[in-house]
Amino acid sequence: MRFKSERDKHTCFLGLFTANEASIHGYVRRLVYKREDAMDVMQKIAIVLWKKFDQLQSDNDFRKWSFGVARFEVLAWRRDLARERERLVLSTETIELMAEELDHKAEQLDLEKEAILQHCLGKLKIDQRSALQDMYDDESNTPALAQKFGKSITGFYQWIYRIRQRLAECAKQVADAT
Amino acid sequence: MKKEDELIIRYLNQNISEAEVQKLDQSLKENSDLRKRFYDQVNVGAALEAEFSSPLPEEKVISFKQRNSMVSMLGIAASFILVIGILGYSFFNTKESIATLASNENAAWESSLPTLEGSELSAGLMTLKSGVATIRFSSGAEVVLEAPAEIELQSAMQGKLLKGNAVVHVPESAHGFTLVTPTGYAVDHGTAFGVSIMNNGKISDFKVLEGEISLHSPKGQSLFLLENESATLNDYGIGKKIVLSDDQPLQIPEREDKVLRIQTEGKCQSIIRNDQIEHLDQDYLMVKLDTGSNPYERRSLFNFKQDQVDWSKIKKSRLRLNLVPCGFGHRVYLPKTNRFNLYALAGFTGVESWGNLKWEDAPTTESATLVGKFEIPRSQERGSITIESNELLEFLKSNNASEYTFILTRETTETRGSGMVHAFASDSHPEASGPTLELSF
Repeated sequence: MRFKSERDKHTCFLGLFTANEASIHGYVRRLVYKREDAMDVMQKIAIVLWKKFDQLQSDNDFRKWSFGVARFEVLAWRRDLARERERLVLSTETIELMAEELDHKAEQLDLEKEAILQHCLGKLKIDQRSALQDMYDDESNTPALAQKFGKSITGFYQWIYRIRQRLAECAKQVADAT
Repeated sequence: MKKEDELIIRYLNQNISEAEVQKLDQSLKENSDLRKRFYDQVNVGAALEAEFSSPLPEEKVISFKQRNSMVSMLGIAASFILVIGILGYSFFNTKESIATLASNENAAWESSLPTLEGSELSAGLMTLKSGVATIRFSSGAEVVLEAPAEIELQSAMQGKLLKGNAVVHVPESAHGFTLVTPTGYAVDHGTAFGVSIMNNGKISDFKVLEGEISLHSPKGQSLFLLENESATLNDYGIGKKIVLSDDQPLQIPEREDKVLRIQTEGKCQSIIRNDQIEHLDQDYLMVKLDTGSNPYERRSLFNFKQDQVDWSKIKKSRLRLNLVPCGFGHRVYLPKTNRFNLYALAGFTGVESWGNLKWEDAPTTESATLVGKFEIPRSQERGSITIESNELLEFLKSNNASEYTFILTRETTETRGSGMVHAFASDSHPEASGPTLELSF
């Protein structure tokens, strides 16, 4: 795209990026399991998008283009992680496969996430909510949490999984209804 | 849950081995349903992240202020009340009565204030160790506490809930009653609301049952909540408002489910292998496995009777025991982890009379069914032990008897003589509740 001035380019970019930031972040977050990592990846994506903004053909292509950049940056993240061997991560093929699928599911999943926040979390019992919160606050401390909620470690994982599964099911119902 | 589903959660928590990641990876590649479940789980995770971590989106509060400038006024007014309250508490702390202990339901208290039902209470701290209790402030505001809970009575118009769950009812006379929590405070405008302090005080969760309240964070944010609305106060301020749908009944802790609680009614006691009953105490259910020929081995027996219900229709069963120190033996002579077994018998088998049962006459574990196991670290002094196993549920259902007898044993011995005797409150224990069997249908 051509711009009359640097200032114009800036305004245009900012408008497009802000409009799409949440969905790009959602997309990245589904592929990158760590919140902090997802934020790092997001930052890199923003830089690349800005640097290559001149190459964008039309406003309408922004989403598609940014998702492509995002996919590339997620794979770079995966490659760096594997190199450091500090943390375990799924294979490149699987992440590519998922990146492809998630591209098509992005809007639906965004709706579902909103449904969870607006609707489904309110349906949880207090202990269910506090278990999720505790897991979020300190996931490494599962044995102590299991004990706190009077469950075995496997039982606790299963319980957490069921609560999360129920949230996902609730989200689908709400998203489908809207 | 399938193994792969567990791997998903563990992968997202990074609590997974390399081999397991490879296995998950392979399964994900081959199984598109599993991938869908993976996306769901990640999406839920992202939502939880937004819910639990983010400071409140500013616009929620701002838009509210725009709609009604009274909110900030009320906020200021409320903080003013708060300051006056605190000043009043610290400077004019006379022993004037500000509340009454309206009712104790199996309540065990720890407090320098009187804890008998009907007592007049002055400002001070009260800790509810077990049971449910109702405090009526002289303004008319009523706080129903569920143990474990800790509340500081500050004035007739103000209390601070430091721990636990409570439901607050505020009549017209007490509009403006302020409930302070570790992360902020709520001003009541004539309502009933539920509040839970979670995560060591980091989060207070409010739900309005009827009427309205306003929440206030220390940073000066405020938010009005109406009936069926819920929000949390946390370190970052006020969380998002959640509207609970009408068809979803609120989960008020003490009315959570239709739970039937059965107690032992005198039918609980310890037995000792050498029958020297001076080593027992009727307030405690003692359990020990000692070295040698086990002369001091102790077991506990207790019985629950309920012939008004159809045991075969139970949906859930839970046995609760309260660990209490009894003062016998040394904990350093125990292994770090102590394992216990719970056996069950249908009926009242073999027990002719409770109170002075001899080892020889007591039912044996061989004649009973193992229905639960649990562990207690030697360092643990007190606590509620809950046994909720499929074996227990199945046993109670399939026998469909009107009463059940349980035998509790310790499976781990001591590292040397005079190791500690583990004890659980019996139904005559002065402070903690005795064994309780909870059934839901």
